[in-house]
Amino acid sequence: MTAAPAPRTASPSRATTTPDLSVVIPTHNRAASVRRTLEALAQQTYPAAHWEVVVVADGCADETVAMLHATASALPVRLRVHEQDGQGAGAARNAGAALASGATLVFLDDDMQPAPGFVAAHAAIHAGRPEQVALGPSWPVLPGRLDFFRIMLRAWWLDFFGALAQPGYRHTFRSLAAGNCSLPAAVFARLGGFDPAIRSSGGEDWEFGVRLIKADVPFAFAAKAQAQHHDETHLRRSLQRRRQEGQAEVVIGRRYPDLCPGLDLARIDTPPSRLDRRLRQLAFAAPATGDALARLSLALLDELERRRLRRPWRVLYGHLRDYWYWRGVADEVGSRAALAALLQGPAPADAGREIDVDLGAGLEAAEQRLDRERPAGVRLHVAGQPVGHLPAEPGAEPLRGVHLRSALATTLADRFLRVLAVQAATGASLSASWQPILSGASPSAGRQPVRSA
Amino acid sequence: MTRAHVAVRIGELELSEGIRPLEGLDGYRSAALLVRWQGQPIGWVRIPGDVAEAGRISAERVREAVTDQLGRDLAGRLLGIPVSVASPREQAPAPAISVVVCTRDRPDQLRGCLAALLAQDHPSYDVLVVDNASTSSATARVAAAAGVRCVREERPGLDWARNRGIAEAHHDIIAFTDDDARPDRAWLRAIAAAFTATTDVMAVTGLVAPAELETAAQARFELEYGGMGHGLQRRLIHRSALSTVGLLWASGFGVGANMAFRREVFRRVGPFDPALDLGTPAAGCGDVELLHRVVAAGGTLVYEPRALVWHQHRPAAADLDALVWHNGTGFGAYLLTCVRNRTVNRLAILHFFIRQWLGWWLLRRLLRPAGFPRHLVGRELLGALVSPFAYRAAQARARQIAKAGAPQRGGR
Amino acid sequence: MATAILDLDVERLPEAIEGLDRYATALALLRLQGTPCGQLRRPVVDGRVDVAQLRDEVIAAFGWSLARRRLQRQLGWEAPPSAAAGGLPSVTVAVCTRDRPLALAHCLEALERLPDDGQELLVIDNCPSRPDSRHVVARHPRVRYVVEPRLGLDCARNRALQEARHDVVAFADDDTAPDPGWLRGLRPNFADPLVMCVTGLTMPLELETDAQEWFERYSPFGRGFERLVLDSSNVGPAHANRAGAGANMAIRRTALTAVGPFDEALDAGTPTRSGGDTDYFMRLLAAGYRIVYDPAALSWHRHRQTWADLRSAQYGYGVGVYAAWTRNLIVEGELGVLKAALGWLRYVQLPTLLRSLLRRSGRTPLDLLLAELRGCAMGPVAYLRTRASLHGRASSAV
Repeated sequence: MTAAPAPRTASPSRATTTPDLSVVIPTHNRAASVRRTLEALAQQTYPAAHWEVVVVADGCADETVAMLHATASALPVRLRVHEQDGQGAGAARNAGAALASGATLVFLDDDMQPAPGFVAAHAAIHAGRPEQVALGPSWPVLPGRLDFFRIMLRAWWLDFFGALAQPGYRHTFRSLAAGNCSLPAAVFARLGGFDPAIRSSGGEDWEFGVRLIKADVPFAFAAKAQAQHHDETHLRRSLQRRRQEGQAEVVIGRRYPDLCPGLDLARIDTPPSRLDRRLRQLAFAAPATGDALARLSLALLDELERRRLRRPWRVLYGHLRDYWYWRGVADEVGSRAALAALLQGPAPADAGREIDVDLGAGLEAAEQRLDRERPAGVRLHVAGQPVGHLPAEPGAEPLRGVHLRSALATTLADRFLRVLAVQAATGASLSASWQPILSGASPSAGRQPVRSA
Repeated sequence: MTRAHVAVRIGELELSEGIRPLEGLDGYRSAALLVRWQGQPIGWVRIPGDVAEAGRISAERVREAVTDQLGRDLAGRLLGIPVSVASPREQAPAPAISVVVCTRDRPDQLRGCLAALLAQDHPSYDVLVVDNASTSSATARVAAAAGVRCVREERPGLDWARNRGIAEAHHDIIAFTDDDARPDRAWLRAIAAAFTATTDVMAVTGLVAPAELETAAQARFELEYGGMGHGLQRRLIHRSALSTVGLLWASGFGVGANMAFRREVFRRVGPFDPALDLGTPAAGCGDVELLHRVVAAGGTLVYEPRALVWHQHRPAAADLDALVWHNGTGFGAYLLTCVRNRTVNRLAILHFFIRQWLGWWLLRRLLRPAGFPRHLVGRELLGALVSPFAYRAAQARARQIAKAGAPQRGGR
Repeated sequence: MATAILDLDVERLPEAIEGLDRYATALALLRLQGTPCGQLRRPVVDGRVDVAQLRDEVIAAFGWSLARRRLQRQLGWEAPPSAAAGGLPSVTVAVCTRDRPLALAHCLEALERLPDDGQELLVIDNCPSRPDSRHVVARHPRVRYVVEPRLGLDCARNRALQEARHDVVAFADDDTAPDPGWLRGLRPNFADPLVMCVTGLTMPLELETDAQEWFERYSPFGRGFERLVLDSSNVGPAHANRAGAGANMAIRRTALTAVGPFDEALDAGTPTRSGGDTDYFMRLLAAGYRIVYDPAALSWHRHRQTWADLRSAQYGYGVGVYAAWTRNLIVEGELGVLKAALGWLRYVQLPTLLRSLLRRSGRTPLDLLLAELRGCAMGPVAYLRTRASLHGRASSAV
């Protein structure tokens, strides 16, 4: 973290007590957006004396700093402003964290508009609990007439948070969206914060997420810590970001080779279609041609949208995204050969402990065992007959009891029901916890009024 | 589906007794097990022979095969809705049943059949062997050795024998099976339950599974022609729920190797029609015709797959040829009998003959064989075309026999 | 011959089903702990349905899906998961009616039987010619009564959306009788903020006449027993019909601002006869929102009883679909409707017509098909004419 010239902080002496919580907002040339965020923070329900806001103006050339100083007095909470030259979101957050004095750090992006209960929710999820990282949902707000891209973008965000919100979702490093998350300041300091060298947007989130997972810090979803995300990404920007994601994945792959199988990088040799295979070749071998084609495709996309041809639009957009991802990979890694070398890499470390669990002994017993042992993977069986395998996933959190329930209800349901049925038919003795499904809820059949017309 | 010329090891598995390894697979290319749970047939499980080691398939492999192939059905049955409490009717006293086996010159097979019949798990029943003009006394000796009553019927023909059986049987429910069939232990119990579980059941038919599939002809008959089974789903057959076409396809109601009737049925609709005997004891559609008559008269027929009988299909290819021929002539004769009896509108029968039987069953399989060889379909087709003449001949013969033999008609 | 309607709980099947002497078959709705999970037809013999056979059929047809559902219940696993912790929206139940006081009375009685979750009850009387509906509503003090003088079902729907005081408006047609579990089946689906509309399963209240049997067989309202989430990524707007029918739908009030009101040139009361719901579904999908079809939101509908009414309804359906497509083509620029129209003609209407002409078994009566086709032909014209007359009225009013 480079030292900034004389950090200017504006801190009207309001709170004298140490705040519980600091909201850190990195920002770059979005004065109006930050102002909106601050106005929302002014409406928080959590008592103002117990928290503060730290805004880090990262290379802001517009009126952001002036606006911040002007708004500071209007806010009920303490506002600190730190300026630095453009070092990227990761470095900005680190600077903000260094300034912050709260026991809990809440990271919020400058295009978020938090709900009134936002701070309270983040505070509540950490209060009195062991160390964990809390992820809050950011609902996309995309006003006005929507084009295909923004419709897709909105659905993507909602599905992303919908998946995170599911009980039993197995979090991975990709769960960490630094735009709305919180964790104890001690954990942040211990892990050394975001890596400022990763400047690509989205990359620094993931890299930090990897370290959190490796440090076995549990992830939790804070459903009430809601914010509205005024996402101004447009189609071309999204493709740029995809390129940056490609670069970021190479960096992560180099740093943590055991994660490689879980990254999209590993799929270089399995393109979904012949066209995708050609696009990948172009990205590595003839990027200039590829880029020209990509530009043409963008024009074609606009045309397809004009004609309301949704499916072709989606297909073409998918190809473009794929191309730009591999272009980013090529940027960072250089050549196919280098990529292959990266993927082969050093021998994968021990993938993690896998245990065997007998479901016949009951669901609660199995869940407790998983909660106790937190294995990386588990092989499930009923009285010796295999039911399924939740494999060790690189970059995913170790297993807990809730993961079992959700797997049994979805991916393993088919096989589990079959095995359970055969076990029941052969008279195997199964735990009483399976009785409800084995015998049905009602004790006996009775006379039931028949509905007549 | 196995190829026709490959031997299949047939076995059965009752799940509530646990899963055991399967032995005796030397020389077989695959195994087929009829899987049951508490007597209820669930399905067939096919296991390829290459997983066998030293002629044996381990219990784990059997279990895996059951889980893969029947897992869904079992889950649906055991975990779908609560297992029902036995209704009061099932606790009613089991009715007494008379079992009639008609036989001619097949003492060895009769012995096996009788052994299975004597091992029945049913409180009150008796067994009657009707010796249909056998040329030797071996039949009578086998019956005597088993301690079973034997009656000799001189008029040659399966239906004459059956009618004699009806006349001689003591009890109110009369069950029929063939001499080359081996009924399962719970056969009579299942038949009795089927009669008592629903009101006004007039007839019960059951599942016929192959006892062995050693020769090509047996495999072809069972796997490509359809065999004698009618599926593993219990069915309630009543005229009001059937279309005319459904009523005429009475070959789908059951088969003579496994059927049972209440005595009053014969009073109401008459006995088996001897004019449908076409010379050989194994041929003829007398059973089909009676089942049709029962349903046409408004009676309820239950097809109960729990009532299971293992049937020894004829091993020789020549027998399959003959069987297929007789199916042709027999079914045609059955349709003509329906015309005579006017159970169904004549025009509908003609329509059925052309569109359903000739068109859908025969010609379609002639043009697109789907496994079963064309020459056999052709044989059946020929039989179908010849059937009116065969029918007339059989009618004449029946009249002759009736005049010559004792004036004894079926029913009391 | 008539068909009896049965409503059975699969975990508590009755020991005997009797007393159905008038009927030849029975249509049984199967529920698992209150949620509809399938339907079966069984023959009625001597006024009885054989329960053992019914049980076997249930196991054969639905055993597996029932086992899955029961496993999920035991594991406490629910779909839809409530993503937003904001709680469920409040509901206004709106019944749009016109000159059908008897049907309205039945509907209101059914609505009174809904458990009280704080819903508001609202009746929009559309251009009434007699005060009978008012009297019917007067007998139910909880129900608010509003008159919408402009003729048209879509006008009534828009009025309902404006008059409602709660966040979601659940529409019930006046010839339907919602099941007691109706609202509780609709509401949880609104937890997903992208869901703007939820439709439900509609079962026939009775199948006494031939016309009712044919309606149920040929174009039933139901869309199956699996919950479906439709959005523009899996359903093109031109196929919005897969979402369900307006007889049983709930719409978020914010949809008024998001996609606009129902098009008053469409649906009953106008020459286009129907299609207002189809058009709205199309617009919601095109704007990127989601429509959820949830069979747990069950409602019972009394189909048209006479053949003439049925024919007229088929005609109206054809007109409405094509009118809705015309609107979307002209106003929204949805070229996909052309493909949808061709697809419908080629893969559904023509084969059905052919089967009917060739007198194959199970064929649809020819006059119904021809009525529908005539309607399709008239649809675009009807829409354009109605639109023109509306504009004329609007400009003359200025």
